[in-house]
Amino acid sequence: MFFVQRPGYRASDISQSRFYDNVFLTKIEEKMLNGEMGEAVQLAARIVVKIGDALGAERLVPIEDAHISGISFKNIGESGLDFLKMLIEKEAKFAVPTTINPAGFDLKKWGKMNVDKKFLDKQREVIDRLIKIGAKPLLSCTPYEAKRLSYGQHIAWSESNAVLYANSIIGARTNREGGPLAIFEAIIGRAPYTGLHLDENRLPEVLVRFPKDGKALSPALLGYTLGFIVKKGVPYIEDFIFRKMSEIKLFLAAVGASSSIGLVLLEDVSPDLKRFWKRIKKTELEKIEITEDEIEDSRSKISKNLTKVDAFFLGCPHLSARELKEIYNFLHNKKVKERLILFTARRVIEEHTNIVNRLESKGIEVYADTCMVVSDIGRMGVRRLALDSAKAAYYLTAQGYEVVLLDREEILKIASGG
Amino acid sequence: MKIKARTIVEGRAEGEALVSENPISFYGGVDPETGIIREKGHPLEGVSIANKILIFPYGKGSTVGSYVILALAKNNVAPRAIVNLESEPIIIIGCILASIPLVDKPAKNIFDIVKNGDYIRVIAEKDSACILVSRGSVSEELPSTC
Repeated sequence: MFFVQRPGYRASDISQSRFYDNVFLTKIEEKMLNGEMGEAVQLAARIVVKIGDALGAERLVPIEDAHISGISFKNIGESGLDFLKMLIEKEAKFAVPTTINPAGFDLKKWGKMNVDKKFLDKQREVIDRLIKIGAKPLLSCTPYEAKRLSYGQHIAWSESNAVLYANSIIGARTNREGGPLAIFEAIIGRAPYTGLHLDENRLPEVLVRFPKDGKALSPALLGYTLGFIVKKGVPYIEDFIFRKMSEIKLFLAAVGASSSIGLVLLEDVSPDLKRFWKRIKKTELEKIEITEDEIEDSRSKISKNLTKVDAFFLGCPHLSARELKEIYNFLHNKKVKERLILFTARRVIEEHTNIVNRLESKGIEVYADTCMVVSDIGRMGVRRLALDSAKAAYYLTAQGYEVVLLDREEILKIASGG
Repeated sequence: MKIKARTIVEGRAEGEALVSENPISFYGGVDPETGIIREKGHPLEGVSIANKILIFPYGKGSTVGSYVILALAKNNVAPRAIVNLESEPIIIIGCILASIPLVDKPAKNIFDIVKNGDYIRVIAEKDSACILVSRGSVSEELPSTC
């Protein structure tokens, strides 16, 4: 008789699952594993060590920071809520500074977003539970704009755009952790010492070139195409033309949506290139030339030719204070004629009330704590939309919305009737 | 046909193979209620992964994919086992929480050998793993150990 197990969530299975002994553990890590530091720590240690063992890690690495994805109740549902309940019952506590991703609505302006009452309660429960475990409710996908990180720091971040930013722009080190794994790593303050935590895995494997007139192309679309073609590993981008942070954010977020890439080495931008330049032999790398056809092909997957939309969206990833100012500067002497919806972090709204008030006085909607991907924009009366984020275009197309991908400047021009 | 592999999440499962040579994004790419792949233009768009032995190179996209794997299991539409070329954390933690056997690094080119509809048995034990393949038939001929 061949015994077959049924997939299903059983917390007891995890607690009883065997742990592994190929990973070197310090005395304190052994205590974690033995249960001397509580049930939650033991569970987290078992899972992190098990994954480390499966991936061939020799040891764990202490992390200084964590960021958790999977906060919107729309995404994690009842099983996610149950998972957090189980952790609280085991008295889980985060051992390192831990922030969380956007939730399903703006905590203050949820009325304006037409949020369903049941969803409201469930979402608040998710956030309350995470705060109880020790999370700081940043509710933003751009922790790199809120936290001070430095080169070479080991961290455990989920949220793919933040992982790419931390690795590629700051030179901090994290793998693309699944949401629940980042939770376990934050509980024990350690991650498997594997993947992008190690020098040798941060060296490029392919050299990528974009078409020469790429300047006319959107950074989001180039990033999306890059991810789609290269798929994994560490690409080295030669002649990276984008210098504005807003463009780099859109580029990296798109890479994160279309691939399993966690680090892109951008010429003249990524700090790792300075450190490793002696070890990188450009001529020996496999070369990939991304063609106009490939870019158009990836556009066709996430963008339609729409002549009319219900709203224009900016803020995936969350807009920084500087980006909000740029948007305001573009629009300040113009009338906004279309529905324009912006997403940013609560902290940005609080620190820049002046700009936010002026934007709102033009009829622009500005929300925090959430974004177009993880909220329910259908309840805001939107079916067809325009945006500048290939990441959001991909996820919203999958959710059944009709999407057109435009550049930010085009969006601002159209929204102001130009 | 037996293919050796590496155990990531222990367990045993058998069922019909579903093969995707393209990476899969569980969040956005798979409907957690039905198990149907909904990524536009994906070779398996419209196909259900429920109760299949799902074979794909690796995950891509959102780190929230782990919760989608968990939701698939809760809704009884999860794959019975997953075979990857190389598993990454998003898939691994999802499979651990959802008790889905997971193996990777198959010793032979699995995309050349396994076709949709083949009957597959996955045995993932602590120190060894194998994928047993029976071309388009049932499990009777397949051994119950590696």
